[in-house]
Order: sequence, then C-alpha cells, then structure tokens
Amino acid sequence: MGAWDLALFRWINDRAGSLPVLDRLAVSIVNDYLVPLVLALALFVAWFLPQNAGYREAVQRKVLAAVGGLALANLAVEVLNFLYPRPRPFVEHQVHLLFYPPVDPSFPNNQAAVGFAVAAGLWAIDWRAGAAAYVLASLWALSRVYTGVSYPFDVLAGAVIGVLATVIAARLLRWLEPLPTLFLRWCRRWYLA
Amino acid sequence: MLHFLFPLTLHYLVLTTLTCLGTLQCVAAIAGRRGLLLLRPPWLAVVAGIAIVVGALWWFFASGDRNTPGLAGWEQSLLFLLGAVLAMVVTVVLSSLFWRSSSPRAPAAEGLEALRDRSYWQAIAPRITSRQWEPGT
Repeated sequence: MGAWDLALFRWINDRAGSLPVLDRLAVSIVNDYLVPLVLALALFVAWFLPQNAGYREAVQRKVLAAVGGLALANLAVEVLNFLYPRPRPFVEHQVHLLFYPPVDPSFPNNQAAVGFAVAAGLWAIDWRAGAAAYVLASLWALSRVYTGVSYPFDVLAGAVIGVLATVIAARLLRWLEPLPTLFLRWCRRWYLA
Repeated sequence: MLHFLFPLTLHYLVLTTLTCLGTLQCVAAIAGRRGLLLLRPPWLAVVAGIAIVVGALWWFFASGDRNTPGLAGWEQSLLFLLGAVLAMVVTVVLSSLFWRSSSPRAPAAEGLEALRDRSYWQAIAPRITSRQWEPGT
C-alpha cells in the first residue's frame, strides 16, 4: 500500500495551504466534535421521530445496531492500532499539518470507522439520511488526509471497518434476542420508545 | 480518564445536553408529541429547538480552540449518552410542570404515543399511584 498511498496522500495534502477557504473548511470539519455530534443527533432523531409504532420499533432496532456498530468499530480500531502501529504521516514525512498531531497510530482511521458505522446504520433506516451521513463521514475522513494526520489507506480501512461493524452488530442483535425486544419493551413501558 | 472538572468535559456535556434538548423539541413538535413540548404552539417549539441547537454549537466552538487534543471517542460517546438522558429528564420534568392543567381521561397508550395528548407525568402517574405493575415487564 506504500507507494500509491503516499502518492495519493501527497496529492491531497499538497493542496493544504494554497486555498485559505478550503483550509478553513477542512479545519472546521476535521475537529473531533462536530461531525460525531451531528451523526449522534441523527440517531437521536431516528429514535423519536417515526409516528407509526411498528415502524418505529423497526427503526429503533436499527439505531441499536448503529450504536453497537460504533462500539465494535472502536474495538476493532483499538485492536488494529495495537497489532499494526503505523506512524502518522507527519512522523515519517514533511507534510502540511493543519491540525494537532495525534499520538495514536494512523491505521486504521478511527474517525472514518465511527462515521461510516453510523452512516451504515442511518442508511438502513432511510437511504436519504444515510447518503447525507456517508457524505459527511467522507468529508470528515478526507479532511484528516487534507490536514496531514492520516493516510488515505487508513481512512479507507476505517470506512470498511465501520460499515462491517454495523452489519455485524445488526446480526449480533438478532442472535441476542430476546434481549433487544425486552429492552425496547422496557423503554416503551417508560414512554421512551 | 474522564474528568468532570476538566472544562472541556463539562463544555461537551453542556453541548450534548442542549443539542439533544433542542433536537427533542423539534422532533416532538414534528411528530405531534405535544406532551414533550416546552413551548406551544408546536412551531414555536421548533424555532426554539433550532435556536438552542445553533446557539449551543456556536457557544461551544466560540468558547475555545477545539482543534486540540481532548476527549477520546469512548468519552464522547459516554458524554453524549449522559447528555441525552439529561435532556430527556429536563424535558419530561419541565413539560410535566408546564402542561399539567389538562386532564385526559382515557388510559394512556403504550410508548411515545401516550405523549400525544398528555404530559409524561400524566402518562406515568396512574401506574405509580395504583401500582399496577406487571412483573417481568
């Protein structure tokens, strides 16, 4: 993955510093708080919005799958960080660094894993919301490369891990029956679902 | 380690609580769950909800440089969950205090449907006072 990954990284990161508007946009998106909060709020909306009780329960199961996917994706990233501690681009090369230098390994990209895990869950609920979430997650992941803190391959791996984690979490939820059903019934009893 | 005296932790908790509160107001108004509204008519709740979300985001990002090392992913997830619970508690307590005058007679439907025509307290009070619990549910 070395040569093409570095070439693609250079192609994206070399744009940094040449267009102030793009730099400002990337710096606004790249931070650790905005995009995950927006994605979490989208799941929050999905939990409460549907008016039909049967449909709402189906949606809430998918929200649980997305939350499970988020946890699995984080776990997978932690394990892979430990197994393959790839240094960040700014450690190995001269880069345009527009963000603080993270100290954790570069592979796989945690932000892409988290963003794509939630986006996959939202896609299962509503393809339009999912498409918007995929765009947002992609911009967040791309901004990590643009600002010089992640390689493209790490972002790609994170995205794949995120989607797979949500698919696996959805299956796990089916295997864990009747626990999800009991949880949703408990929430309904307390007017929370 | 999550430290609640660390300003960023508190700021993020306030952000998640307020954004969940504002979002809940918008969703409750759109889905017709009048029992969760803090303001009526519903359009006013939507406007207030959007203002709370935008205001909270503006305050959080204007009150410090957020492109610095801070909260880990699991800490953010935990704080979001806590913020969502706090927003829900504030919503049900305040909406129950504000809208307790009307007294529906029909038994409450199960789930969020019950909050279409009654406050959270009005939905839950008959069960608490009569103690009609079904074991295991």
